[in-house]
Amino acid sequence: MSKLALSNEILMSVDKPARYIGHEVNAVMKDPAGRIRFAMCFPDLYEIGMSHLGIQILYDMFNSFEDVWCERVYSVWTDLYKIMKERDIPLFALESQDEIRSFDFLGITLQYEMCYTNILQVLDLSKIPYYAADRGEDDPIVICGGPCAYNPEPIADFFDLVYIGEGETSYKILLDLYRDHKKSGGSRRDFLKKAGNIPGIYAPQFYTVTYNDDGTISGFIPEEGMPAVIEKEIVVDLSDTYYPKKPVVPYIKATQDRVVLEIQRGCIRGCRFCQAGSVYKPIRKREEYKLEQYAREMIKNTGYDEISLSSLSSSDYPELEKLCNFLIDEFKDKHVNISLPSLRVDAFSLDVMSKVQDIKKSVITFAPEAGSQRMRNVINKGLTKEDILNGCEQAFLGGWTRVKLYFMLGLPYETEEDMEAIAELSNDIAKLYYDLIPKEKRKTKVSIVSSTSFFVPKPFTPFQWAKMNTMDEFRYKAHVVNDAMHRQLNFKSIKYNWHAADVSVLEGIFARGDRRLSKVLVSAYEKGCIFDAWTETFRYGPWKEAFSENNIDMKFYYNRERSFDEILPWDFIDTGVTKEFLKREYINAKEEKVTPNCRVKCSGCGAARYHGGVCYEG
Amino acid sequence: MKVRIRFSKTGALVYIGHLDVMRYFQKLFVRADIPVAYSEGFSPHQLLGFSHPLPLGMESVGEYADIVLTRSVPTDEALARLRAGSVDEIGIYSFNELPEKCENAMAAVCASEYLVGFRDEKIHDLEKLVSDLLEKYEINVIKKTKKSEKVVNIRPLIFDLHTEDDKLRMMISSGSVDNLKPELVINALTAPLEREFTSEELIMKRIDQYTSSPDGFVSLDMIGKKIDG
Repeated sequence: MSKLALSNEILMSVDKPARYIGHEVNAVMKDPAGRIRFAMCFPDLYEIGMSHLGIQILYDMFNSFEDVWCERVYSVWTDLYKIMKERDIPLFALESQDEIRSFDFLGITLQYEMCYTNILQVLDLSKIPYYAADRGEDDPIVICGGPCAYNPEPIADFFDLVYIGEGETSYKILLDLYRDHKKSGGSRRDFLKKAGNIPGIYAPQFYTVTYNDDGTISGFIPEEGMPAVIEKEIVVDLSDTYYPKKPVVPYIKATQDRVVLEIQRGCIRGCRFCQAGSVYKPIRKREEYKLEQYAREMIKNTGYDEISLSSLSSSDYPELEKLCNFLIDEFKDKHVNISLPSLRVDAFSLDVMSKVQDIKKSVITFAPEAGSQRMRNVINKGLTKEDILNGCEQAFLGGWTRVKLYFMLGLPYETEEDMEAIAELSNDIAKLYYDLIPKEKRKTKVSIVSSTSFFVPKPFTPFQWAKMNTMDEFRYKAHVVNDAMHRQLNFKSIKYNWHAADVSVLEGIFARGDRRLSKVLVSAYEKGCIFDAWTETFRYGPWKEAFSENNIDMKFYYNRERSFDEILPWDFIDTGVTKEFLKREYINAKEEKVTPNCRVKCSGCGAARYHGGVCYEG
Repeated sequence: MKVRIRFSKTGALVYIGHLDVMRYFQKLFVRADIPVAYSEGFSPHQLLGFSHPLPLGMESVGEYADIVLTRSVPTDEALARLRAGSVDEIGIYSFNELPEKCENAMAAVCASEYLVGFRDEKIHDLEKLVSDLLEKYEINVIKKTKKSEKVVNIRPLIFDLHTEDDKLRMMISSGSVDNLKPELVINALTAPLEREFTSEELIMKRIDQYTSSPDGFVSLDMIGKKIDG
């Protein structure tokens, strides 16, 4: 019988034991002898982590290195967590089922702030000290990366190293340095100092942060020999890099249970709330002919019956039509479904969708993000009411009857009219349907689902200085929208959903927090907070206690307008996009001035210094 | 053309549920380029059916999947491709063409053979317990379903039971009419010791599944015939 870390009795007593057994198709097995062992962790459930393309790319890349064996580890659900704590069972990697503590590296991807307590769960179960400063020579090197690493300060104390930017470029250098260092028998501290000088790699323990009396940062001081600024890493040529052609195929249904084809990275549209759009600049595409090869190979290697395109805005991919036609021709008779998220609704996309989906089941999706044109100008969302209504008109004539709309509440400079405009836009779409489709031709009534999330200002966006709303303000705003919905003529065709305000506030605090928050995270974890991104496990009470016990004022972090002169916790990171550009954009927002997208006109954001992508097209 | 595949499910894969096994095979057929036919309609699915579902936690070397092919593939070729695309814990044993008029695997099963061991315990005088049990004319046990509990005489459902070292080999009724779980037999057997075993305390392995024929029980594997190249 193949080795398993958990006994039969335990596996038979937990929900979905397949989360913990490994042995999947395309999982990589190697002889550990003489190899650097890297545990790659997505700190959430298996089904979520297995759906993540970034991890698949890095897993494939690490295992392409002859002297490295990369394995996977995920958070364990609350049922198994309890058992492992009670019986003192250490956390293990899926492939070898060996203890994490015996690995050379533990790499954790940070995709959202609300997984931060899960990092502590992983460290706790692995028996690795929470704080990097407390770790010994035999502990694994704990490193993180991913979007939240663009402000690593709230969790900086937990990590030996932080990788800032895209993982494809600097890991080889890091692992080579580690191997040489092991051979020569150097200390952990020496290794970390050297590692902190590799491009894109930040070693937090060699930096001291000082504070003013008002709590703002007065200084960020590197130890001698450490860089004062960390530049983000990017893959300049996306067509000439790693791609996981044999991704691991889970037995249980993952959230994204399909082949994922990343067509481009970055975005040309400068939406002022969007962190991804800013930190992944400049947009870089993968060559279309390569994507055709990947699609064929990946379906063949996995057996999936669905393929999905991935990018921040697929409609901006220059060869989208060619690629879609290829996918339709190639897979039409092979029972492979094609899903096309993040497509602008227009004649082309509706035509493609009618070929690949059942119109009766599919939903037309828009993300206007704000209800009024004024507000959309503030956030630089280049989608007009006319675009939306034109898209809906074509969709309704084509047979679609379901529309989904996504909005945000709490954006800077928002007024009550802007909130009410969300309801009015929803109503206008319903009205369009009833005006357009004569009664006798309506097979069903139109269904409009409008959802609002609460705006959370993020680092490296023009809104990084903005004051975020309080929970009460959020709830009031949702109430305003809900009331306005009920006043609409077609309100029976509209359904309105809004997000929970308490999670948004915590997200806001950790998104723009500093090093003083690490102790709050430890307190919250010790009070039992884990899986905070899951509504069934999230509890706000213990979080509130954790803040007050550590004398941390929550509002200082989220409900305060920062001045342009303030030293921000993430100022030591250089993403290419300059602070001057972000300031300019914040002022443009206030003045409701629209900034054109990268293909229309360069706005001089600074990302051109990477010498690639859209900045050098044509 | 209808084909029956015999496969095993062992090792770590005993923790994969029946629906996940079905999804596994759907993908395996694509990886192995087996031309499985699809149903008609808006959401076509592979024409694929399984024999009696294996409980979670149990190993088996006698599982069956029936499929419909759009064109013939020689057995040897199909086996080579399926084995190349499968994990070690799901072994592909046979790939045989079924006769035109033939019950599907699920409907055909009427008996299953199991090998059952005790996980952490040694039972003394196992042979005596077996002979005592088989001497009985009636073995009444309480059968629990989701809705009710009822007393059932399981003696006619036990076709064979004998020891094999510390283990028990049994051939018992299986299928949609009179399905008997092996742990019920074990608990009837150990009742004189006043000891009841949960399925987690046993190591159970399904050896094969059988259908009835005028000559007695026949393995589901014996129904089809090899496809020559």
